[in-house]
Amino acid sequence: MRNKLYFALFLICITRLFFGQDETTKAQQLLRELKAGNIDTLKELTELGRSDPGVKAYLASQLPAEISDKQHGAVWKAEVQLVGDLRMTAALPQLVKLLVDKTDQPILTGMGRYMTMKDDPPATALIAIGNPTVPAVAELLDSEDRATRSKAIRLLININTSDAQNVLAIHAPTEKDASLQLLIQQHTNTK
Amino acid sequence: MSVCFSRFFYASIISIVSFTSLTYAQQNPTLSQPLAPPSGVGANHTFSQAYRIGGPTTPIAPMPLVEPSIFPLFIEDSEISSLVTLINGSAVSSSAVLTIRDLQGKASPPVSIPVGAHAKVQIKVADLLQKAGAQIRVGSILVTQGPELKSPAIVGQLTLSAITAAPVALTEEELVMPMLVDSQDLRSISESATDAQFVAVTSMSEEVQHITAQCYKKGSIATKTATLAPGGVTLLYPCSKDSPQFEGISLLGASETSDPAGISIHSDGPNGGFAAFGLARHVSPNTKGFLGSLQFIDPTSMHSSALVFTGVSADYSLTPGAYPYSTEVALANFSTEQSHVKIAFHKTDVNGSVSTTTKDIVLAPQSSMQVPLGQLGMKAGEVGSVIVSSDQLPGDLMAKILSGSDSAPNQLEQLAKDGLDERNGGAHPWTLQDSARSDLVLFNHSSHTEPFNIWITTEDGAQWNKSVRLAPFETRVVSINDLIRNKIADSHGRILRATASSGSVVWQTPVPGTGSGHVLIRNEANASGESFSCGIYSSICGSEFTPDTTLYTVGQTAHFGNLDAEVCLASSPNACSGTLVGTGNDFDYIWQSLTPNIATTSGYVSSNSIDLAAISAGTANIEGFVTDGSCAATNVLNVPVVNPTANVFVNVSGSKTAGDNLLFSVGANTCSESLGLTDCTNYWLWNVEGRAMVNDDASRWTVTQYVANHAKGITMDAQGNTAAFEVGSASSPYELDGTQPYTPNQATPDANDLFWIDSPGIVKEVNGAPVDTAIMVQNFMDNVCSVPSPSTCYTYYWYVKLTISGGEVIPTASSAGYGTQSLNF
Repeated sequence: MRNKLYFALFLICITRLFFGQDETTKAQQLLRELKAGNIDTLKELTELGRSDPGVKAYLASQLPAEISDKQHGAVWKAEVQLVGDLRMTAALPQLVKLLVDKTDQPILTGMGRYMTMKDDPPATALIAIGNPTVPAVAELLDSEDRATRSKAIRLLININTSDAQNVLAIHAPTEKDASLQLLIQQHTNTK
Repeated sequence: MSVCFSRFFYASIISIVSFTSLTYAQQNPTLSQPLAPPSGVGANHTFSQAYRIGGPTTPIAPMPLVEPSIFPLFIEDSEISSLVTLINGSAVSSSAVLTIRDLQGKASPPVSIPVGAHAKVQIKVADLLQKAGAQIRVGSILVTQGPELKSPAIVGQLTLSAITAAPVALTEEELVMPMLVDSQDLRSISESATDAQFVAVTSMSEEVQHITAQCYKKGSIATKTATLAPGGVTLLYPCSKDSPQFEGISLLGASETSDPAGISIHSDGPNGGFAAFGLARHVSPNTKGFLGSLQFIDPTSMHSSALVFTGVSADYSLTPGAYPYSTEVALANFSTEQSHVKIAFHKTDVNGSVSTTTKDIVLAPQSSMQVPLGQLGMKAGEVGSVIVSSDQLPGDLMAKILSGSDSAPNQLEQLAKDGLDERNGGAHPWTLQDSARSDLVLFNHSSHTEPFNIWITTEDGAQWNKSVRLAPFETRVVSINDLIRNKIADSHGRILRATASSGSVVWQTPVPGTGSGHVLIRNEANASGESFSCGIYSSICGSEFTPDTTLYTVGQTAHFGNLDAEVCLASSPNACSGTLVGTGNDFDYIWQSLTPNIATTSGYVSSNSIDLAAISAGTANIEGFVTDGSCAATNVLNVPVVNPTANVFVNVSGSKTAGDNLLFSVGANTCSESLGLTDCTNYWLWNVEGRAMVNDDASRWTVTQYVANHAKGITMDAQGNTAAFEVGSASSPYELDGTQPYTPNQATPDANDLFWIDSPGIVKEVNGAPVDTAIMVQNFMDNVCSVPSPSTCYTYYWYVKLTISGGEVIPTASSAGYGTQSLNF
C-alpha cells in the first residue's frame, strides 16, 4: 500500500516537471517560428506567456534584445506587441528608446490615430504596460525635441493613471510649446 | 398700547430714546399690490402673494390703530435738549409729519420730514420748534408716517442729552402707538431712586380724562389724581409724599429718596386714549447722577408672565477696566396674590455653549423690591440674557434690570420684553460714525433652535441679508463693524461696502414669541452708548422665484432656481401683507412637481433651492411653497422640457468657424490651420471641422468617431525600384477612432455649438521610399450623443479620399464630404 502511494506521488512530480518543461519548450519553438516570419504564432505565444510564469520569464529573457536590433517589419511589430501584451517591464528601457529613435511615420494619419498612437508599436506596448512606464516616460518631458515631448505627453494621456495625470499637471506650466501645453490643458479639462 | 418694550442706556449722557413703529397712515384691509405680475417661462423673477395658513385667502384686517403715534414727553430747556431720530425700515420711500404740542394740548404747525427707503433721519427738537415758530419747553410730539406705507414702517427715537458737559444720564422713552383695543390702564416699574419718580401722562383723546396714579412700594400704596386736558400732558409724582409741581429736570440735589416702586395709571377716558412716560432721578457724588426711565405697558397687551432681557451687561464696558458690572433686578407685583418669581440667567460663552443659573424670589401682593444679582459670573467675551417669570397673570409682574460700574458708563438700564410678544422682530438704526460700534444683540428665549433673519441696509440703499440660527437660550452678538471689516458675505454673496457708515437693521423670527433683540451703538471716544429695541410685526407677504435653468432637456438634472420669501412690516401679527423689508430664505419650504411624468423635484426639497430632473418632453409645473408658520406663499412655476436635438455636419473647406477655439497643431500631423486639402512635409491631408448645433447645452453632448479605411499604393525610390504597400482592405470595418479627448473638441458651457476637427491623410514616404501612386479612402462615422439622454444620438457619415499620382496629390481626383466612398479598389 505504501509503495503504491510513493509511486503515485512520483508520477505526479514527473508529470508536472515534464509538462512544465514542455510549455517552455513549446514557447521556444513558437518563438523560433515567429522569428522566421510566422506571425500566426503570436496569439499562442501570448496565451502561453499569460498562463505560464515560466514561459513569460523565458520570453522576458529573449524579447528585449530581439526588439532592439530588428528591422521594423512585421516580425518586429509582433514581438513588440508581445512585450506589451505580456506587460514586460524588463523591456521598458528598450521600448522607451525605440519610442524616441523610431522616426518612420504611419502610412495613414488622422486625429484619432495621432492621439491614440495605435500605429506606433512601441507606444502601444508602453500604453499596455501602463503605470510602471510613467517614471521612464516622464523623463522624456525634459527633452529639447518637441516630437519626443509630444509622444511622451500623448503616452501619458493614454496611460491616464493618477500618476500620469500628476506628471502632466506638474509639467504643463513648464512646457515650452504652446500647442503641447494646450494639449495637456485640453486633456485635463475633459477629466 | 403699542410700545417698544426693551431698553438699554448709559449713565454718561441723557438720551431719551423712543422707538416704535408709527401708525397706519391709511388703513388698508386688503393685500398690498404685488410687486410684479406672476410670469411664466424664462422670466427672471416670478412673484407671488402670501396668504394666511388655515384661514381665508385674503389677509385679516390689521388691528385698529389710533393715529398718530406719539412721543409722550420732550424737554427742551437750559439743561436738556431733545433729538428725534426716524428710521424707515421698509424698502419704500416715504415721509413723516411731526406735530409738537404743549402741556395744554395746543398743537404747533406740523413739519413734514422726508424719510427715504431704509433711511435714518435726525431732527433736533429745537429746530422743529423754530420751524413751527413755537416756544415750548415741555410737551409731546405726534408723528404720522406717509400714505405710501401700507403698514407701520417708520420707527423713531427721541434722545434727550445733557447740554452740560458733565456726564449725567441717558434714558430711553418709548414712542407710543395706541390702539383701540388698549385698555384704560398702564403699568410701570421704577428702581430705587434718589428722587421721587416723575411721570408725564399724555392725552391721545379729544375728551377730558381723569387720571388716577397708584404707587406700590414695599408695604404701602399711594394714590394721586389729576385731570388731563384733551391732547395735553399732565405731570405727576405718584410716589412722592407731597405733590410738588413740575419745575424742570434738575439732576443735581436729591429731594426725596424713593424705594423701588410699581406705578399704575388709570384713566376714565376711552381705550387707548392716553400714553405715559416717566423718569426716576438718581444723584450720586461719584456718578454725577442719571435718569432712569419708566416705561408704561398696558397689562392687557401682555401675553406671558415671562419677561425677557436681552444681552444683559454683555461686554458693554466702554472703558478698559470698568468691566464687570454688578446687576440688580427691580420687581413689582401688581397682583393681590403673592407672586413666586424665578430669575433665570442664560449665559453664552465664547464657544457658544449656553449655561443657566436661576434664583427664586417670593414677592408680596402689591409690592415692589430690588434684588441684587451681582456679577452673574460673566467673563470677558461672554454674553447672557435674563428671563424673569412669575406664577401670576401676564401684566401682574413688571421688572427692570440695572447694571452699575465704578467707571463710565456707570449705569446700564434694560427694560423687559414680553416673552410671548407678538412682535416677532425689530427695526433699528446703526452707525459707525465718529468711531462708533454697532452690535445687533439677539436672544433666542425659546427651547428650540430658531432662525433669525437679518437685513442690514446702508445709507445708499444697499442691502445685506442673512439668517443666523441660535440655539435654545443662546445670546448672539452680530457686530456690524466686523461684517464690514471682515467682508462677510450674505446669503446672496453680497458684502457691505467698506465705506458704509450708517443705515438700518431689521431682524425677525418666523415664529413670534421666540426671539428678542436690539441694536447697541457705542462710542468709546466719549463713553456713550444707546440701545434701540423697538419691536415690529413682520410676516411673509409673498415670494420671489429666481430661475437658474429655464429650459430642460430630457434626462437632464439641473438646479431649477431659488425661492425667497418676501418679508413685510405689518400692523398686526400674521398679517401676511404690509410694507416690504426685503427677501429672506430661512423659512420652511415644500416643493412638489405637479407633473411628475415630465419632471420631478430632486435633492433637498425643504430648502429654498431646488433641482429638477427632466423625464419627458412637455411643460413641467413645479409648485414652491414657503411659510413662516402663519403666512405662506405659493409659486407655481412652468418650465419647458424638450427632447435633445442636434444638427450635425462637417466643413471641408475654407476657414474654421470663428470661435471654435480648436487648433490642428495641438493634436494632428497637419501643417495648416485651414480646412481642405493640405500638402505637408510628411503627409498629404485633408483638414475638416465637425460641428453639431444642439438645442440645449453643448457641454451635455459627446462625439465618438469611428473609421473604416483602405489605402493602397506603390513607392518608387531614386533608382526606380518600386514596392507596393497597403493598409486596410476593401472590407475594413468601422473601428473606434477616438472620443474625447482623442478627438479634440470644444464644448463651452451654455453654448449651443459643439465643434471637433480632424485631418485624415496618407504618408509621403513608406519604408524610406517616396509614394508614387496611391489611393486612400477613410470613411468616418461620427456619433453625437446626448449625455443626459444617452439613447439620443445623431450619426453623421463623412469621408476623405486622396488620389496620388506621380508623387503628387491630384486635387481633382481627391475629395471630402458627406457620405461614404467605396473601399473596394
